[in-house]
Amino acid sequence: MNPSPLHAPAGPAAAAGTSDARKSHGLQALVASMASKKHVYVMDLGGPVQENIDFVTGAGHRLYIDDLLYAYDYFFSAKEQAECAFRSARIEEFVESALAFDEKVADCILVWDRLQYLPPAICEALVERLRRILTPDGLLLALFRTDSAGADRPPYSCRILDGQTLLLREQARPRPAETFNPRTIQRLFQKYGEVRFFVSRESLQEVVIRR
Amino acid sequence: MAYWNKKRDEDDPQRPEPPLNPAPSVQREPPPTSSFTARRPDEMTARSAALIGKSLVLVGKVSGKEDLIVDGRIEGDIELPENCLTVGAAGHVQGSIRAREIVVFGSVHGNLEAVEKVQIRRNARVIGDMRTARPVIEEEAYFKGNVETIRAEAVKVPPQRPHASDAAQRTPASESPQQPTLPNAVPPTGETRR
Repeated sequence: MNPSPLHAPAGPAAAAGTSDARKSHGLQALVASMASKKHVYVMDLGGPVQENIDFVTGAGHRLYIDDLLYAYDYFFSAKEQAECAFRSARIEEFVESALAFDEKVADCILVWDRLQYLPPAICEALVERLRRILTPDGLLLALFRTDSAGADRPPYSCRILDGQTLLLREQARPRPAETFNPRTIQRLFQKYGEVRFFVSRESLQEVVIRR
Repeated sequence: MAYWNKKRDEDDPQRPEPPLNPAPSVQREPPPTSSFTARRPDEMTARSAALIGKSLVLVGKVSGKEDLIVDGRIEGDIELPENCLTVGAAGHVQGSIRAREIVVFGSVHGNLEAVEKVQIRRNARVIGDMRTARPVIEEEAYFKGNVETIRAEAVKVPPQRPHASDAAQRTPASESPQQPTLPNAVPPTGETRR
């Protein structure tokens, strides 16, 4: 790990690409599950977005924020990332530093499209840690672009406009994206209890996963 | 009119020709637009707030009753319950901060608690929990931690007086309401557990 986390080079990439507001059935499912509970603990792992902060805290819930891509960029050296060769001990160390939580604490986790931009070994380790962090009835919302095979795509900045509408804005910096289809998504979350797919516009797959 | 005619008569022949598009005789200043939050910390004067300069390193607890701008490095907790703390772009705080309002342009590794507002500005980097009435995080900032909103009126602080000359009239710190402590405060290492 880099010596001082407070002197990392630059912040997350600016949101500067195209933006698109759309109805989100996945978000609706999450909001419906939150509505029946009090003091929900929500983890937003797509980085700080003011609309999401206002939405979650405005509903009286607690919010945890981090950006998995920033954490990955910061933790692994450029050489490690370029070679895409990660020792299992390093992966464990990363998961522990990025998601240092006790088990069964989060009622709702928003990973948005972040898993798609992480190497498979790291993605799988994070998915397993997220499963442990979720409460037994907890839900996780993930987005996957099914048209991004082999292409560098800018990740989305995902903004909750209301309980059923998301504004997706492409960030400035493209990144290599892994290829996912419903079968590989199902396999990724095979240890979870339930995986629900919601097809959205433009080859975007919304997935709500129950622990 | 007589005045202008007289002036014209008295004109010096060697006087230079006026420009074809003369500038307006009255210099108009732009309307004042600056506010405290919009100003960069390096534009602020020492009169409005105390300043920890770029080359300064403080180790230990900092507390007081005036606004503070940190452009240097502070390793320790900061307590300004009635005032505003600004961590400048070059500033670095390793410790918890409690203030009326907190604005971060630089980096903080510790918990933030502000009765009124916490602003984490573009390119800032904060690792720690935030507890405030109004959390504001700009998109290009990095933040890792919990965000918890509190009601501003629940922990009211006497209004801040702008000048040092008013300091004598301020309410002593011992009379200000006690802030609740963070229930899930992160350790200084930045690890966040619930």
